[in-house]
Amino acid sequence: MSKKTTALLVCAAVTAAMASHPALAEEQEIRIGALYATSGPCLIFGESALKGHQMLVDKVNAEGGIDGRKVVTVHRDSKCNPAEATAAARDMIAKDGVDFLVGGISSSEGQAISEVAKQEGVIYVASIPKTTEMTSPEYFHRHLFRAAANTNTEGKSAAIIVDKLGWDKVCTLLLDYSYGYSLDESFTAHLQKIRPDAQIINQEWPKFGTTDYTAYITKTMGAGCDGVFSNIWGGIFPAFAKQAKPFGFFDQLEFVSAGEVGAPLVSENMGKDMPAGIWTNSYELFYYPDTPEHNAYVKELKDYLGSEHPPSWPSTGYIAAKWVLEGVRAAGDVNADAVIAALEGLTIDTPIGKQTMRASDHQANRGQFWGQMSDSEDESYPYKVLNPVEYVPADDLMD
Amino acid sequence: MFDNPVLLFIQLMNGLSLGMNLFIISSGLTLILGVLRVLNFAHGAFFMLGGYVCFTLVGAFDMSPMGFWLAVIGSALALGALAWIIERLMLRHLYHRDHLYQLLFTYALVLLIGDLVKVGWGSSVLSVSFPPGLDGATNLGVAYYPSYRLLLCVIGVLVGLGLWYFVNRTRAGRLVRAARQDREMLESLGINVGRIYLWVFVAGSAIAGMGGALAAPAIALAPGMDAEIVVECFIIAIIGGLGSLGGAFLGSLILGLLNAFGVLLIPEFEIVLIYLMMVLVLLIRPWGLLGKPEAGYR
Repeated sequence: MSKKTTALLVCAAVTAAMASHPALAEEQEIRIGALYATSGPCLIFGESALKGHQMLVDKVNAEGGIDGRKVVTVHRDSKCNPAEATAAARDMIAKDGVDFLVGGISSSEGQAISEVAKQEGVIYVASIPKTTEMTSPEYFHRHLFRAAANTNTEGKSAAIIVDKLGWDKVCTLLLDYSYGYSLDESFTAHLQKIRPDAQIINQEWPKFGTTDYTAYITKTMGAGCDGVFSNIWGGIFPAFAKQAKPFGFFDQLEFVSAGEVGAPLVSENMGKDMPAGIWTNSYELFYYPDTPEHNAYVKELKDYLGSEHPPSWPSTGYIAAKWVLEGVRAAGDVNADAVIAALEGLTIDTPIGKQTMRASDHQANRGQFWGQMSDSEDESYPYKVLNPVEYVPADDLMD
Repeated sequence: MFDNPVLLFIQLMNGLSLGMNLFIISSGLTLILGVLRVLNFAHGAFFMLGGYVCFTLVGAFDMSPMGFWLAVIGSALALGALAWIIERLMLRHLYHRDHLYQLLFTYALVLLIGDLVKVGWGSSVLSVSFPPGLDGATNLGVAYYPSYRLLLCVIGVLVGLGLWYFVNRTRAGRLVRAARQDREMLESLGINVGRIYLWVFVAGSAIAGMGGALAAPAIALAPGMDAEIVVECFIIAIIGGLGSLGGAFLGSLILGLLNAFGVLLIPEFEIVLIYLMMVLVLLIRPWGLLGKPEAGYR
């Protein structure tokens, strides 16, 4: 072989390598489209969830990726609005070439993204949307997975708490939209099953978006019940609580609240206005449980956010991203069909313990933390915390 | 439900206090509507901004005993000043234009202020604590009722009386009434009507700011809270009679009581009651319960 030919060959090889290298890298990347609202009414939750997602992705990339595949996140602001979410999801699939979608906050957003995932054949892991409608036979499709607890789990856990508190006459104060209706259904059904003597004697349905709950508060107080089950969720609970407190509402009635009123951020925002003694839930709590994997997560999150008492919402984004990455790891591929097969029945480690994705309807057995609002014993954290607190597992409650 | 007189009494108080809270806000709208003939869509946004300014000022005054009340006054002044700027720079050029331009202009203000609030205060729900001493309940003999809501009733009545006295018993009020009836005549008498318009707009907006600050402890602050309130204010103005202060008072009470007893008696239809009421009034007395028919209508 002459020197000239050798040089040419080397040139050609280098050129080929240069040309093929980026394509090779692209193939190996895991491209995730994250749809979290970073403006609009859900901004505070969306930003937090996105941070959790990013923290996990950064960590995985620093450790060399999943089997050498780098993880790339493309974020679009879904503005807590189903139309925006649909447009953003389509855009990310077409322009950014994402292989997976995660995110969504409201149930309407979740259903919109799910529809795109179905049409485009892209896997969607719902991090926060709860409505059981998404996984009902009418809407469920094989590309949809849910990392969040569904409304069945939430309503039935509430019924378990109500049973423990021993209420016989129950009032409900649920918001007049799909989230309230779903909870009403699961709560009532489960309460009848585990506590047949209990009766629901009064139901109020305040409009979603109302600013004055007074009429509902006083009517509920006049109904003569032992306690109230509500879903006035964390973001709007402060207004309700402040209006209810001067009537002596929380002194007279026991209160069980769905909708993550127990999230540390809600407690911090409300300060002394947070009523003591109510029972409520949270996705995650930086102060519970005291397990090595949870402590490691909290420490990591503290460093990542630079905050001594990190919020609970990052866990939603973190766990959704974890499902995608563990699915790819188990499949050894980013191909949708391979990852779907790998995710079905898969069990993964999360900061709040082991989670399993059941094969039948792609619902993770995500439970919830429930507890009673009490004063904190930690002097550096002068806000109310859930104590006593427990993890209510979802395995028997999801249907 | 009727076998529980305490509950009925409390619902009545709920209706009255909600009505008085609405009146504080709608009186400013009515004043502007009556004199300037401008449908101020931004009135709800001024109300919202008043609440947010109050939130910031309460933080700045660090909850000294008078802090909240200083913040209320501060909110009224801040919104008055903003209204002064808006009137001088922009609104006054639109008085002679078609109503559509005024609507578009005030709607633009709604969008601007809405985004301003999001940039300045974020999107989360904020909460102002009750002023010291008013976070409890007062014994009314029949039942305990939250002290702060009682105070809102009293302030609503005082605002109503104050405005009535000003419009009907003072020289400046006479000029305001004259400007409302015949602008050209008043101008030809050498009165600076532009100034009257300016101060009515400033006063109306300051009342909206004060209303927002006063409502802040009773409700919650969130972007978008302006939309509901401005619709309610317009319904009040239509039921009571466009530009009629007494009508606004009556309309506010009707709306408050419809809400309280609607929830109690027919909760499924509570949401449509006020609209039905509005339709009824428009059919029977299109100029409102206490309004006067426009010339040419009879």
